[in-house]
Amino acid sequence: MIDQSAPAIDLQGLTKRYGKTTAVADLNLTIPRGTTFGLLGPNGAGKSTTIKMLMGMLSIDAGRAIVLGVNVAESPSDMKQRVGYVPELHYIYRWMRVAEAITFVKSFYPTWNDELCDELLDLFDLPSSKKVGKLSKGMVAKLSLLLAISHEPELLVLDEPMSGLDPLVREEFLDGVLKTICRGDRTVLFSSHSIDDVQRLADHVGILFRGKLLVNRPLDDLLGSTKRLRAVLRDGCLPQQLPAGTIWQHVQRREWSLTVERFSEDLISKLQSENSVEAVDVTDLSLEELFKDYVKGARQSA
Amino acid sequence: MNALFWKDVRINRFPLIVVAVFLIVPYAIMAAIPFETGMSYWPRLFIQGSAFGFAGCYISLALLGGCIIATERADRSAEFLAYLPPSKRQILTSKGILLVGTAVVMTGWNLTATALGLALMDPSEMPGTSAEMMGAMAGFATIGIAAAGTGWFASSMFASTGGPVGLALLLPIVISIMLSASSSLLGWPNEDWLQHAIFIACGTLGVTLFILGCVNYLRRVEP
Repeated sequence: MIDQSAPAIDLQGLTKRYGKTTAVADLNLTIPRGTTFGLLGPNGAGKSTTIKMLMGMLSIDAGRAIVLGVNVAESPSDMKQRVGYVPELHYIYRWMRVAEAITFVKSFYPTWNDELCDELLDLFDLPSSKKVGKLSKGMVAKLSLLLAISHEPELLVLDEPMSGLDPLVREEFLDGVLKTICRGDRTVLFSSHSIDDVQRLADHVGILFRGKLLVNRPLDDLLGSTKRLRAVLRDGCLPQQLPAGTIWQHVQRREWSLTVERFSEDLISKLQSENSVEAVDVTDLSLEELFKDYVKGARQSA
Repeated sequence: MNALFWKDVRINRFPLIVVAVFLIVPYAIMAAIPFETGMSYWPRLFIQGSAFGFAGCYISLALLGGCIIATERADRSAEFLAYLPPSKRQILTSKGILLVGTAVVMTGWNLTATALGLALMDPSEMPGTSAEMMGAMAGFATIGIAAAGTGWFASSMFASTGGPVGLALLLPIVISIMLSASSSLLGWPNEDWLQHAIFIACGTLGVTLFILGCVNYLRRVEP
């Protein structure tokens, strides 16, 4: 029985180990329907492992993955009917022509939309009669996106789909993704190294580091409430009390830099009363700076 | 299901070409080259053709069985299929139909040729009874079954085709050598039963390994 009111993705205690290495550790993540969720993380953070587990392509060592109300470990086929997936590396049969690949994939989806497929073929300028093996990397990525969205999935999962693509193809690819987002109440989960892409598409952001989710918040809220504080310490003094919500800090001579989440004006007076600081300066952060501070902070605490 | 089967046929084009070659070439050779065997032309063509046909059946089923799952893992196209809706059961059924279907066609073709040869043969030319000859030929089919089952099982585990094909070719030979050695050294099975023992061992192992290959493929989450 499929629960239509269930979140698009609900990961509970998801864990994956490779020998002694834990790639994903007790990951809890809920992505509501209609959300465009950008998953950020440095190399080896566990983004692809997480996505492969929720796509039923990798065994789960502990916890469970529920996608569109379906437990992935129990009936992955039911879930795959309603999900479109674009991986980082594309292994579409190289001997198939573009039209054959479309016919092949179409046969598995009762919801296939021929009109949308033709529209995307035009938009992406894909040659129907050319073999997949003869297509450029960008063309294969666009074909992969076409195959993933032409059946009008309820959930689109993109695993670093734009890595290695030139800016023009990237733009076309993003247009295709935006087209999907704009068509009704679709949920999109995408992982990317490109912070610009995440900032452009996502309304929610998660940062994954060493298999753990450091943050999961709406993008506007995250950008609006995470601030960089620059405090000047009194001569010969060191920071005494870290304010609550500090993600990362760095002291260089008298300059004390801190990145704090859920910033409020009270925090400045608290910082001044608990530490020997002369002045405090508050600045906004870009998503890129914020991402780096989260990762550096996690490394510091590790 | 049709799309999956069509895809499997296309991916296994080379082993299937080998199958087609071994269905025709043994008979073409027998038709073209006159061997002195004491048999008249047509019975000789069908009976000797089917004997060579069974040898071809062993080679081509080893090739097909060894390639049928591992090819897609080797070029990683199995990962593409893994995120499409067909279940592992459907994917396996399509491949199973192709392998079992090919085995049935090859065995049926060669047994029909044997039966035809026996029907056309003058009783004075016959080295044994018709039933004995049909039984011996059917026994040769079990070698093909062993090759197909071994290839299938190894293919469900390996990520390249070389190993599974090699193992599939090797197993019937190993079985024959081991049972022959046992027969001459230990006296078991006795010489009268040696051929039957080889056929029974090949058939049993082939079917068992085919089932184990299915279980292994279905249990594994990774493509």
